[in-house]
Amino acid sequence: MYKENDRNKPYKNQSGETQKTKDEKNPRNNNGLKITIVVMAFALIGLVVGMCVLGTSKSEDTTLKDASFQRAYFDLVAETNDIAVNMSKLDAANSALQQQQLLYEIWKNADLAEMSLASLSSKDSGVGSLIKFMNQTSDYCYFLALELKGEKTLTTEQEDNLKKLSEMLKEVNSALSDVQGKIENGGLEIGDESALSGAMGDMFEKFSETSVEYPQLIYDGPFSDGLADKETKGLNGDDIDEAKGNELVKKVIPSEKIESITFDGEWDTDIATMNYTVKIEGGQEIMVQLAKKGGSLLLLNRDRELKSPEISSNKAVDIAEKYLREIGYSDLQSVWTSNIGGIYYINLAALQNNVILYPDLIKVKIASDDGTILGVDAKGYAYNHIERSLETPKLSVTEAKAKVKSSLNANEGRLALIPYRTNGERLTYEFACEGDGLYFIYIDAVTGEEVNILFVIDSENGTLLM
Amino acid sequence: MKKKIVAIFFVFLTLFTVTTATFIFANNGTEIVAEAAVLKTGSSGTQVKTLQTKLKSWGYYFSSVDGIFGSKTKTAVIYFQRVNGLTQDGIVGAKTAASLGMSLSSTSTSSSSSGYSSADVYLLAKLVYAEARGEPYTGQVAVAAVVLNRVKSSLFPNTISGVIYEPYAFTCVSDGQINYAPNDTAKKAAQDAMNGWDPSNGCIYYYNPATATSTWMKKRPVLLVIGNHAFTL
Repeated sequence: MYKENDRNKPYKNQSGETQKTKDEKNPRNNNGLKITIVVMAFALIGLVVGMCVLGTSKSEDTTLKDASFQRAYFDLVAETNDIAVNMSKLDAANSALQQQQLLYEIWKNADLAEMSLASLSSKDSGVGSLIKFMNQTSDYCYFLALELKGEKTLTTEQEDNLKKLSEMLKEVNSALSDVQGKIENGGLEIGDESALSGAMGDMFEKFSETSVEYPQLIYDGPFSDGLADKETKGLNGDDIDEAKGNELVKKVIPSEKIESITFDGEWDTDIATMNYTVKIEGGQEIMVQLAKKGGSLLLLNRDRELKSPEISSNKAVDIAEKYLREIGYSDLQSVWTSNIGGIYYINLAALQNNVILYPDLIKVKIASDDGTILGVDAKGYAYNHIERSLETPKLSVTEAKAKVKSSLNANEGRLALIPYRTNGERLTYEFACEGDGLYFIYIDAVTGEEVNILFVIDSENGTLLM
Repeated sequence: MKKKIVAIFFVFLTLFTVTTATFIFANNGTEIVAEAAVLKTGSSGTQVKTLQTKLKSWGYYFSSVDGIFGSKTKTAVIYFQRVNGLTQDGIVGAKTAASLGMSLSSTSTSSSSSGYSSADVYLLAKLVYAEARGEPYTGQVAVAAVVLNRVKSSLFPNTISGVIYEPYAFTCVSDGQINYAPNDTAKKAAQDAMNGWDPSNGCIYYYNPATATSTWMKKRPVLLVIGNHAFTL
């Protein structure tokens, strides 16, 4: 800031002096011209000062931006170094406890590295593939740490996987130090849009799945590629065409006069869908998405202004259950209700022998003013609903309840099948517990393990129906 | 004479430059959004009056509309909460206010019913408003869903703010439109996406084919089109 101002001074003087010398040399010296010149000189000074003010502030902004990029970069370097070190230590560790601790360390390092990377990342896909690598490293180590429980040591296969990850990391490290070299020699501005991908371009290439073999992680973790090839267990029947879909759409539109139905196309993402826009009386639009396989309703949604609330939550649940029965979903039980901005969101889960199947979920949106169905999301059901071969509980409810922390006031409990990690399911007893807030605690009905704890953050947001 | 005119012209030019520069810098302020409060026993004022009027017209409150939150108002609020499946605490917080169709924000500029306490939903709504406010409702839900699909994807950061503020990921972050206050529709769209509604079924990219400049993006196969946006995996 001060340096810039000091530098301005000679400029001001220079421009002033130039005007003066011109003035003295001019033989046709008159007052009007003098005034003009003085005004012009001031104007020029003003211009220069103005430009400098503009220039200074701009460079300050840029400097700050650069600094945040630099910080992200150095954080990234520090974390990848730590991962490499911890990977090496892991290679040498022989006790279950050490291995677990190191895996947790790497999980944390890789997570932080990913965050730094994300604040550097630019438009192209290169940085994305490095983010993916970091995410998967982090996720895999977390998965292994949970798997080992501090009791088991790594298997040979797991060690081999980690070795491959370690090799990849060494390449990342050397590429990152190349970038560092270029920054120190002044050849690279890390704040540039494509600095990182420019410097690491070749390496990014190696990360694209086709060119380099890095372990295809054996689980379907939350950050996996799984989205694209998820199975739809709950869908059966023949594929439907546009006309058949048209007929089915009429059946799922709740009690309103349909003005027109437009087919928006077949969308083939992770699930093949037939999409329609329905115009109802009054000009409002409802989007309806049917499964191509079998034609069942996957998604329905609309938006409208809400008037003052008239419908209680019990009434809303009745409306949702009745509607779902009408379109072919019976044997559902409402498991959660919340009211957000005048709209009831009601979750209903499938039942099998009185066991709640939480993965097979249908969500219904009900307007609190007149009970109109505003939305349906039946994808959980479509993906997961299938007759389960349920295990026989080894624990009684009372035995399971004894596993819940005694300071919590647990309710009577019920059997529930809950999703576990990503692809698994566990048969549990579910207890709603009053403590410092509302909790849901899940005790494995076979092993007695405390599998999951949910905490209701804002209990004004909803009530559980048991 | 000619020189005089030239000089005056320069003066104006300079003044114009300086003023513009000052204006640009002065204009860098950020928008402050008012936060919601609560109404409870002891509260008073116009908002309590509004509350009493609403409760009275719907048959929950039978005393006079005096703008003072006393025991009778509290009883009416609990009655209203019981009928509407809300926590019966006799306090008008965000949820109860939303169910009443009231806005508790101190500036009370809109009569919209918003019950948003979660910073994530709000940030998501800001993105939806900045990126897709002219789009059909389904398109707005889909844009919000893309953000959430990115959070789940290994290719992107693992938080909503990480995904939204990833450099160059969304144009509304670069041009500052992300700082606009979202409208009710954008908030509902964000809420729907948070509750699982995803018309795009897992898409992690979208662009406007008419304005997009990224050739890399344009090379990806378009899986679906909603309004002006093409969505892809």
